[in-house]
Amino acid sequence: MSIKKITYLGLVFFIHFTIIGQTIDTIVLLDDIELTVKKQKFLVGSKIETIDSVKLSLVSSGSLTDMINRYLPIYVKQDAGGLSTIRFRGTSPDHTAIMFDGININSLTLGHSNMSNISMFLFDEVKVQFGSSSSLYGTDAIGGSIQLNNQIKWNKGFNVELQQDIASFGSYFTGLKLGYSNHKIQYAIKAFYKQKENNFSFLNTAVKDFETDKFVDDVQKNASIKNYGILQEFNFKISEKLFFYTKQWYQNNWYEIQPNMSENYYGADYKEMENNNLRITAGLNYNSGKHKFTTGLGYVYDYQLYDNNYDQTISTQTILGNINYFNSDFLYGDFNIGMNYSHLMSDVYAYKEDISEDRLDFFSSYKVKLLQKLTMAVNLRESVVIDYTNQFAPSLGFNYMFTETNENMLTGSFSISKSFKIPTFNDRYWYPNGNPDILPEHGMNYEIGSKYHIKKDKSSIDFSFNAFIMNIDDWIQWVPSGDMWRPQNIKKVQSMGVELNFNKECELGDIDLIWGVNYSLTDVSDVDDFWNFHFSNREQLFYTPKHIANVYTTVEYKSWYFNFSGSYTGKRLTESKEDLDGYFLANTSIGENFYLKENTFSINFNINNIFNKAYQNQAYYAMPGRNFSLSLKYLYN
Amino acid sequence: MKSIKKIILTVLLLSTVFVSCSSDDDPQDKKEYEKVAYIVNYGVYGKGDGEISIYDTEKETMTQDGYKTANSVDFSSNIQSMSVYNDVAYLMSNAGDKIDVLDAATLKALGNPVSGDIIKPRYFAATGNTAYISCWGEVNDWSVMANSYIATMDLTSKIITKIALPAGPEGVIISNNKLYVALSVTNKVAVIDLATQNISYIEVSAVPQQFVEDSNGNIWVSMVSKYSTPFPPEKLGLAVITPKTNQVIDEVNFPGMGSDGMIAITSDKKTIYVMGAEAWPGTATTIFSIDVASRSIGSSALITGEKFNGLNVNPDNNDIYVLVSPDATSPGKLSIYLSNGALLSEEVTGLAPKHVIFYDIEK
Repeated sequence: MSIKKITYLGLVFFIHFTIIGQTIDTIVLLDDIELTVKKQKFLVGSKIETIDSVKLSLVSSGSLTDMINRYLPIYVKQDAGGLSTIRFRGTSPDHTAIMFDGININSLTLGHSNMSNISMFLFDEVKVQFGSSSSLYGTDAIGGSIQLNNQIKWNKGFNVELQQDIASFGSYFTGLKLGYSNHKIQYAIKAFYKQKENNFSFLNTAVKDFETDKFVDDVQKNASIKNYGILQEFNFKISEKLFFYTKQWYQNNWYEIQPNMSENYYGADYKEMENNNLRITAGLNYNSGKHKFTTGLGYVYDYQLYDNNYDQTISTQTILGNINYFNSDFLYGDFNIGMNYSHLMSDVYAYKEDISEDRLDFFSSYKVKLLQKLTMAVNLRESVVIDYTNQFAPSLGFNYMFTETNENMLTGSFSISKSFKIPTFNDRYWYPNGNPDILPEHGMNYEIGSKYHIKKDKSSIDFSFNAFIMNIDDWIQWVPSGDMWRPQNIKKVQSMGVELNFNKECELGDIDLIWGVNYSLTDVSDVDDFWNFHFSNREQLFYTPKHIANVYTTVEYKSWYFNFSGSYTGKRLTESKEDLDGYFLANTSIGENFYLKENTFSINFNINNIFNKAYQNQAYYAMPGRNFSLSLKYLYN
Repeated sequence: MKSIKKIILTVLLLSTVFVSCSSDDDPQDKKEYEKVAYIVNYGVYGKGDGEISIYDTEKETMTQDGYKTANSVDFSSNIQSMSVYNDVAYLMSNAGDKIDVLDAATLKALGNPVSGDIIKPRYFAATGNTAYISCWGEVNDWSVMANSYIATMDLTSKIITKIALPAGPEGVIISNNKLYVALSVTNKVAVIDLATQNISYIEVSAVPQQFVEDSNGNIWVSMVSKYSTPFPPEKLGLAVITPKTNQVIDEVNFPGMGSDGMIAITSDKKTIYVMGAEAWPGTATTIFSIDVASRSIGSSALITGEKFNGLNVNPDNNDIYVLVSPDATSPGKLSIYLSNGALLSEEVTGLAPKHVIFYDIEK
C-alpha cells in the first residue's frame, strides 16, 4: 500500500509541474477571487472563533489539542502521549465534525478524530464553530465543527519556511514549507517530522511504597511518539473564470499507548498504535458575475495498525463527489444549493464482511437582509444513507445589528438548528458486538449570542456572550452485555451553558499589547425529559468539566515578543464517579525576530507548565511537569 | 463424615479453597467472628478503579472502598479476582498487572505487590507454600493467546516462576496434587502434575471456565461458548471430571449457560448454582440449581433478573449472593436470595461487582 501511495504522490507532483510547465507562458493576470464557497457565511447566529496564522505560529509544532488547550475554552480529554479526543460543549468525541477542504475527516470506524494527529504546522487558519451545524456539514456536527484551512496567497513569488524545535523529554520537531505563487498559479508544500520520547518524571500517586509509606517517584514509560506528514496544495487559474484546485495530505502517526500510573509502575501488556491517513481533494470552480459553480472530487484513506498485528488491521476508504451552485444576488440575498455523493468502503478484520455504503447529501442555504439591521439565514440538508437512514437537518439563524458606527458595534443573534450523527461502522458492523439496527443520534441546538466591539484610537475591545441549550436524543453508548460490550441508544442528554470572550488590543508607546479571557460554563447531564428542568437531579457527565477558562497576553516591543497563557480546567467526574481535581496550567514564551532583507530569523523559548503543576487530565494518567522548548525559524518571502 | 461448621473462607468460582476447618464438637472453639462477604468490584478496565466492598452478613451493612480505607491510597488497578489462603487475601490485579497481598481481616497491604513476571493475572489456587496463578501474558491474538502461562509463587519469598500454558488459562483448582486449568480458547482442561510439572489435557464439550469440587471429590467445570470459540447450546453446561482417572464421567447440559461460566457450590457441596445469560439481544440472566447427587439441573430458573455478573453461596446459611452490574460506569448491586429463590435484601456495591468471597474475621 505504501508503495502505491508514494507512487501516487510522485504522480501528483509530476502532474503539477507538468501543468505549470504547459501553462507558464500563457499566464493571464486575474484578480484574487475566493476559490470555494465559504459555507460559514450561512452560519448566522452561530459562534465562530478564528485562530489565525499568527496565533497558530505559537503552536506550529503542536497538534490541534495544543492549539485548543492554549486558546479555547473547550475540553480535550488527553494523555501525555499520542491520544486525545474533544468534548465540545459536553458532547462526545463523535459529536464534532473535523473538516478539511469540505471533507469530514472523522474516522468512519471510530466516529471521531484523534486530535493529537492533526498537526498545526500544515494549516494557515483554524476556524472553530460552536454548536450544531449539521445543516451545513452533515453528520457529526452536533457539539461543534472545526475547519482546517489553508489560505491561498497569489502573486507572492517564492517563499520558504524552515523550523527546528528541540524540547524536553527527547522532543524534536522539524518542519519545512515551500511555496510559489504568481497571478496564475499557487503551489505550496508543507512537511514535518516530530518525535517525542516522553520519558518525564512524575510522582506516582497511584503507587504507594508500603515499606516507606510514601508515593513512589516514577518515570513515564511507553509514551513515545513519531509523526510525519506532508500537505501540498495547488491552485491554477485556467482562465479568467475557471479555476482548478487540489490538495493532498498524507500523515503517518505512530505512538505508544501510554499506560496509566499503576501499569507504568507495575507493568502491563504495553501496546502501540500506527495510523496512516491520506486525504485528497480536487475540483473546478467557475465564476461568472454573481454565479459560482463548483464541482469537486475527494478521496480519503484511513489505516490503523494496532500493536504491529498485521492480521487485525482496520482500513476504510471514501470516494466523494460534489456539485455546488452559489448565487450572490438571489432574491436580494446569497443562495447556495448542491449535493454530495460519497461511497464508503471498509476492510476491517472484525467485520463479518467488507462494508460498502453510499451516501447522498442534498443541501441548500439562503441568507438575506430582511431589514436594514436584521439578517436571516436558512439552511436545509437532507442526508441519505442508502438502505439505512434519511436525516433532515434544517437550521435558522438571525442576526440583529443594534449599533454600528466607526467606534462601536453591538449585535445580537439567535439560532436554532437540528443535528445528527450517523452511527459509526463499528457501532453497526463490529462482529459480534455491532448493532445494525442502532438509530442515528440527533440533536437540537438553541442559541442566543451577543457581540460588542469598541474601537478607540489605537485600542479595541471585543466582548462576546453566548448561551445555549442542546438536547441530544438516542445518544449511543457501548455498554456491557453478557461478556461483551455493545452499542445501544440509551440516553437523552442535555447540555446547557454560557460562553464569554473578552479581548483587548492596544498600543502603549512602542509596545503592542493584546490580552484576553475566555470562559465557558457547561452543564451536561442525562435527562428523562428535555423540557422538565429538574436541576437537583442533574449529574454532570464523565469527563466534562463545568468550568474552563483561558487567559492570554501578548506583548510586542520592537522585534521582541513575550507571550503568557494560562488555562484552567475545572474538576471532572471520572467513570468511578470520583472528582478529579481541576488545574491551572501556565505557559510562557519569549522570542525575537531578526530581519535581513527578505529573510526573517526568529528564535523562541518556551516554558510550559511554569509552576510545575502535578495534574491529571484523565484519572491516573501522568502528565509532564515543567518543560522547555527552543524553536528556531527561518522565513524567506 | 464430619460436618463442617465453619468454612473460614470460600473462594469463589473457583479456585481452590483450602480452608482451616474446625469441628462442631471442639470444646476449645470459643472464638467469635465477624462474618463478612468481600465484594470484588472489577471497576472500569484501565481506569484504576477496582475496589472491595465489605458486607457484614450478620449486621447486614455494606461498607464501600474497603481497600482505600485500610491503606489510605486508591487501589488504582482493576481486580480480576480475589482468593483468601491461610488468612491472607490475594488480589489478581490488572492494569497495572500485579498480585496484591493483603491481610484478609483488615485488607491492609502486607507488603508491596508482586509484579515481576505477572501479566494479566486471572485466578489463584494454592497448596502448601505455593500459589498457582493463571495469567494471560501479552496478548497479540485473542483467539490464540500464545503467551499465556501459570505463575507459580513461593508464598514466603514471593518469587515467581512461569509454566508456559498457551490458550488463555482461566479458572484453576487443585486436587490430588494436580492443578486443573480451564483454557479459554479451546475445549480443553489442562492438568499439571505439581510433582513433575507434566501437562496433560482433558477434552470437554465446550470452552471450560470455572471449577468447583463436590462432596465426592469430583471436579465440576462449567462449559461455555465464546464468540471466538463458539459451541452450540447443546454442548454447554457442566462436565464432571474424576481426579482419579482424569476422565469426564458425566455432563449436565445447560443450554443457557452464560459465557463467563460462573458457578458456585454450597458448603455441604451438594448443590451447585450456575449462572445463565440469554443470547443477544436478550439481556435476561438466570440462576439454576444442580443437584450433585443426581447430576440434574432444575427444570426452571431458581432466580431470574437482568445483568447478573457473579454469584456465591453463604456457607453459613446457604443464602445465594448474586451480583448485578447494570453497566460499566454505574454502581452495581448485591442481591441476596434465600435458597428457595426468594429475594431477601439488596445493597449497593462498587463498579462492576464480579466475585463474592466469604470470610470470618476473628474478633
